[in-house]
Amino acid sequence: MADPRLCVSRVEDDCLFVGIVNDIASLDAGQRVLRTFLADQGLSKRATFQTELAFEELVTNVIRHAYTGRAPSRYPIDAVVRVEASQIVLTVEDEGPPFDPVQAPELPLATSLEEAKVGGLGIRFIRAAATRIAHERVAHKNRVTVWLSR
Amino acid sequence: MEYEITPVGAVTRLCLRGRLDSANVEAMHSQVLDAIVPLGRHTVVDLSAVSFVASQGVRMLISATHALRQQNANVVLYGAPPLVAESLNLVIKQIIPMVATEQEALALLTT
Repeated sequence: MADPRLCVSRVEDDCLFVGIVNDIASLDAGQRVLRTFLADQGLSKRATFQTELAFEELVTNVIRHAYTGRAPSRYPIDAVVRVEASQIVLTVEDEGPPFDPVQAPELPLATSLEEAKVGGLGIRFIRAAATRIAHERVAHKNRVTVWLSR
Repeated sequence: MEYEITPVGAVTRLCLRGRLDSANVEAMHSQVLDAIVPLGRHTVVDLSAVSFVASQGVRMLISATHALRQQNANVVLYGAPPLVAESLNLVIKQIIPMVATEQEALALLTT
C-alpha cells in the first residue's frame, strides 16, 4: 500500500487519480500505484511501458525543473490516467512557472560520447511515446496531457 | 534495482536487474559507478533482467561510459528486452554500442 504521506490515489471506473509531491520517493510511490492500476486494464506490454515512461518523465521534469529550488515534499503534483477504448490519456498538473513541453526545444541527439549530455532526454522519451501532447495553463498551474496508444 | 559485478577474463561484467527509473537510479547511481569505474576495465553491461528504463537510467549508463572512457576503457550493452532496447536506441545508439548477446559484446571489445 502506498504511503499516504507520499501518495494518495483513488480509482473511479477506468480512471486513476494520483496525488504526489515533489520528491523522488513520492514519484516511486505514484509509479507503484500506476503499475497496479495498469495491470488491471488489459493493456499491451508496450502501452503499459509507454504510460509508465510518460508518467515518469513528466513527473521527473516537474520535480527537477518546475519545482527547482523549492523545499522537497511540499509541492503537489496531480495526475490522472484515463483508459479509453483505443487510448490512454495521462494528465499531469503542477504549480510551477509556465512551461509548455510542446514548445520546448528538443536537444539534438549526440552522435558521439564526447557530445553526449545527460539532460534533455525526458522530453524526447515523452514525444516518442505519445500520439499527441497538449499544454494548458489553468489557474496558475501547468496542465500537460499526453495521449498514448493502447 | 540490483546490480552484480563479475569478471569475464579481463573484462568487467555489470549485470543490472529491475527498473532503471529515477528512484532506483538515485539510490544506486554512485554505488554502481564507484564499483566499476575504479576497475578501469572494458565493461559489458547485461540488461537482460532490466524491466524498465527512463532518462535517469540512461543518464547513469552515459556517466559510467564517460568515466570509463577517460581510462581508455569501453562499454558495450547487451541483452536488453525489446521495449527497453527500443527506448535505449532512441537516445544512445550512436553513443554506446548495444548488441544482443554477451558473446557479441565481448567480441566488440576485443576487436
